[in-house]
Amino acid sequence: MTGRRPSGVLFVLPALVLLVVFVFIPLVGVLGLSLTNLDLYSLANTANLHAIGAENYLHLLRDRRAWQALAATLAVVVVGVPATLVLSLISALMIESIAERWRGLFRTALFVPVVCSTVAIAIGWRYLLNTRFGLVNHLLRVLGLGAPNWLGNPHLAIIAITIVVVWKGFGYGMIIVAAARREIPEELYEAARIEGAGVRQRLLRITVPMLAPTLGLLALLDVSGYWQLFAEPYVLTRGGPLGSTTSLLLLMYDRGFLWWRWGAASAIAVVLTAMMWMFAWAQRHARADWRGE
Amino acid sequence: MATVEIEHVDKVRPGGQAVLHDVSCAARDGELLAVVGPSGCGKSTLLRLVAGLESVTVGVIRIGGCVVNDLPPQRRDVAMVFQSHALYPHMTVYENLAFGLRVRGTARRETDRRVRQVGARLGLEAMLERYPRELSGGQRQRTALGRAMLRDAAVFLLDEPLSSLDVPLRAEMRRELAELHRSLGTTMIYVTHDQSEALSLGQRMVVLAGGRVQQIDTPVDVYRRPANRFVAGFVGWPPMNFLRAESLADMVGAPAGEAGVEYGVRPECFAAQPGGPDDVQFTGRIERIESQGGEWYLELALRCGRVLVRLRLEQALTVGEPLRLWVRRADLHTFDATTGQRVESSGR
Repeated sequence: MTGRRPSGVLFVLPALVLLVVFVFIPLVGVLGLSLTNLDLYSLANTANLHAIGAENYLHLLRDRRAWQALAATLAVVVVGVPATLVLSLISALMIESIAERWRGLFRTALFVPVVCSTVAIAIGWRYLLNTRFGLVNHLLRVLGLGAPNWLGNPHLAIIAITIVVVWKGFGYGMIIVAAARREIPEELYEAARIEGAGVRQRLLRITVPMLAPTLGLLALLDVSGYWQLFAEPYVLTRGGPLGSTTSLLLLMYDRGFLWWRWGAASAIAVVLTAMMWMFAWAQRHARADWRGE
Repeated sequence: MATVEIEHVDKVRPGGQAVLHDVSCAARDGELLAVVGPSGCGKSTLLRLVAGLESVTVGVIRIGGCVVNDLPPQRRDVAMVFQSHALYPHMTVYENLAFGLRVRGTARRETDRRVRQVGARLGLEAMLERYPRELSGGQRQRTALGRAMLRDAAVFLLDEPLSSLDVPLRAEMRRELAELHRSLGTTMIYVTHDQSEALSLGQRMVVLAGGRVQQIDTPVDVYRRPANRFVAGFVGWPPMNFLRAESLADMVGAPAGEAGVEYGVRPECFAAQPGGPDDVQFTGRIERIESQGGEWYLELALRCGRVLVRLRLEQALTVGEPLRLWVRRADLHTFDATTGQRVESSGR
């Protein structure tokens, strides 16, 4: 950058002030809190407030529930993100290939979950997944596949949560991918057809690689979104059964606002943030693509 | 190697818009056929019909004697170079060249050998690992040509391949293209809106306008004997001057009854000295002068209208000065004023 001007500072100042007030200061605050034993008792009598060093973090390492929450969150990320990307890609390509007059209808239908309130959707899914009266189990019964207790079985609950999360999330990616697909010049496909590439080869050798930067960006957004999984398990299962759907964020919420142990909750928040940063950093360095970025 | 025959082809778009009307033309085996016309005349559509990217509404297209109307592009044995080059941006030059061979399942070693051979031939050896965005316009153009060469097709279809290049490069690539055609000996159909490109590259040219064929001939004949007023005005630069017959008839000595006739004279066909006894004489006043080094571009006000004149002349000229010029009778083109068709003058 050459010739920095003072006026440039003025332009970034408003955003900078907001960032400092609402991101950096809270971040430093949380980092500080995570090194204390701040809880309801120390709030009532500050004599009980101590700096306890890394005790909160050491405790997390020994905490079976913390590991369980990490595993549940990772499961949703590891299964949910690829599933979301694949669904976004397939739905986008299908939407782009259907007749124009139907396109808007399907696009809207698939996008609606994205803009709906998560709580409303979770409540809707709680009815759908109800063991006895739910539509899902009704259909499964019709097909002769039994009627599992989706939200009551520790193994199924996390799957149900993942399904809901992916269902709510993929419409956003679909819109982005569809827009990116429209940016690919038709001549590339025509050239490929003349050279003898069939439908599958055009998809795998042109469409997917051309969409790779977009899919990479979506993966980053999805990972950061799913990593902060909260509302779906909060409404659908309250983190149960047996803590099987307690995500890291839900665990933090429970520690902080259910049991009033803000020091311990802050430690979880710091760990969550650090992991997000590590992931974003890795993603950025893995993204040297043909656009020369 | 193959011929391409286009017979009575109509193309109507789904919306009902007719793009081509009864187009017939043929590229002979090994010929470079230039298709030229103003934008929107349907020339690109014609090429896409031959490529199989669009379907013919009425008519027949034959490549190498076989009707290809219902064949998909990959089975027509054609290669195409697009105006935008249509290089795959996510692939290196090497991968772009190898693409067709790979999708057709050519062995890896054979692919490598042929890609390197064509790369070397087009001077792209050092560029093989680069991405299209890292190439100059000419290098992109060569890559697109190389891709077509590796298709090993009987017919090359080129859709305005030079129009995305800047002017000096265009002249250079034009030479290279002509050279390539000579050495490959492949039938080529070359679409362009640039009449000078068609004149210099084409062995024969098809002039299209409004979706109809106006003339098919060698460039020399199209230039010397344009079939109608449109071709006369479109081919050749600066464009031909047109003069109403009524006012000119006395000078030209045409039959007086031929009022429904228009005359055309190319700017470069005026001479400062009479060349023969039946040359037509024009007298006018110089309205505007533009010097182009050794040449003069003059706007001459005649009694019957203004004409643009291109003249090689040693003597200095001044605006307002009267000037007398001669045109050979053979360089005076006659067109029917209502139909625009060429009228062969009895004087030739």
